[in-house]
Amino acid sequence: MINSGEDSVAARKREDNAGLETLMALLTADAQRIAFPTNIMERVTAPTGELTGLKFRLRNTFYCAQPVSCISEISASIGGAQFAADHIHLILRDQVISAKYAPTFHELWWGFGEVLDILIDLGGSAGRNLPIIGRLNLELFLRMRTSISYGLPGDAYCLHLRNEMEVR
Amino acid sequence: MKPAMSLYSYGGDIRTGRMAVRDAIEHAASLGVKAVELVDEQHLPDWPYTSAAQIIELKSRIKSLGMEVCCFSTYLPDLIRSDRRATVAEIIEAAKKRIVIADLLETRIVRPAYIGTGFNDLAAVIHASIPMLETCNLIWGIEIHAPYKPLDFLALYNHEFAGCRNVKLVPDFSCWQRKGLPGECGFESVDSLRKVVPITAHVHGKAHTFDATGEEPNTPYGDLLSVLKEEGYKDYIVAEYEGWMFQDLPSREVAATHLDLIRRYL
Repeated sequence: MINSGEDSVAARKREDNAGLETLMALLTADAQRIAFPTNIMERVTAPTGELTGLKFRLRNTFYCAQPVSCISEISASIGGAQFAADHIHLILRDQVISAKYAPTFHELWWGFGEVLDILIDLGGSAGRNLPIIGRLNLELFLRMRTSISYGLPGDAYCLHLRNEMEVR
Repeated sequence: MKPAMSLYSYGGDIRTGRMAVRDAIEHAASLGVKAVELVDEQHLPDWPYTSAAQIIELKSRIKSLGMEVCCFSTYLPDLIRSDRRATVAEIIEAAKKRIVIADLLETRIVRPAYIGTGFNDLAAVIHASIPMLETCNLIWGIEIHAPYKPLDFLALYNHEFAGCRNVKLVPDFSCWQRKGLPGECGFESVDSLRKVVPITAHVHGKAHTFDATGEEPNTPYGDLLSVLKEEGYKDYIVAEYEGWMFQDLPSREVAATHLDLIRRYL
């Protein structure tokens, strides 16, 4: 055996964090360019016709596939209304997951460049007064763990994505 | 030394759906290479639940164009679960699964990316995989990639795997990117490549940007390929463009530029 305990590999990761963080900053900036395949936000209604949610598409912007468990935090702001993970669902290949449970889904993978749907549940107070017409500003925050360690703090990176969406 | 193409180079267009993996394979063939490298999480359909039939169909498509798979690059992610790191035993099982896929692809090299908590974990996983590597007549290519140091991997190799015909090294040019341009600059001296060539089975010609003359201004391709030639390296060097992570350029054009650069110094 060589290098018992915390070895030179871990030390090397720390030494190079500055360069790695620069690369990750470029990567996360690029995420804004490709994250939203469309600017459309769909109205989701119940069989009664009642508006229950809003849905939009989101691409995996990472350089490889990721298990859904890597989505460790998610929140959204739509037209200024705030939505926490318990009002957000991920729809991946027709599988609907409450975002608050995403960290437990380690056997479901979000493929390289794959597009999933984000469904915002308008129930409760958050979306009650939201004007669901025309264009709305979307802000989406994601804290993504990496499935292998690159030496990033907490083995995670954050995406702050913004887009003006057309509600249909 | 034989030039080849890593389909990783087409990542920008594959990720956004402008190209399919099949398109990338066909474009690589059109450039006249005899081999392509595949990356599990980018190129195998339905990963990680790719079926044997899907793997065989992919290999058949590549062979039908007169090419082979020169390397199967794969990841051994140990942070899949949010509650704990994967155990070494779990990683060994994952490694065996990748070796079987590499065998189905009829490649000679499998490059599993894994460090775990350090070289001890890596060595344990490779040692446990050697019987299956022997059965499948495969080489585990340990990638030397920035920010890690080539001589650290040489020491690991000499300590753990000296003389093992199923374990070799895969130097990645990220270690020798040296001008601090956006990339994965390793700032290594070119001589450190010379020391690892005798146990090198495959080379990743990493690039992030090209100037008007087709040079990679951050990476001394001329010097690095001279070392490979002087040391008698005979196997594949793949064009592995990674600039698509942060700039949107047409993958086909960049892949052709990159391959021209490698051929310029062969």
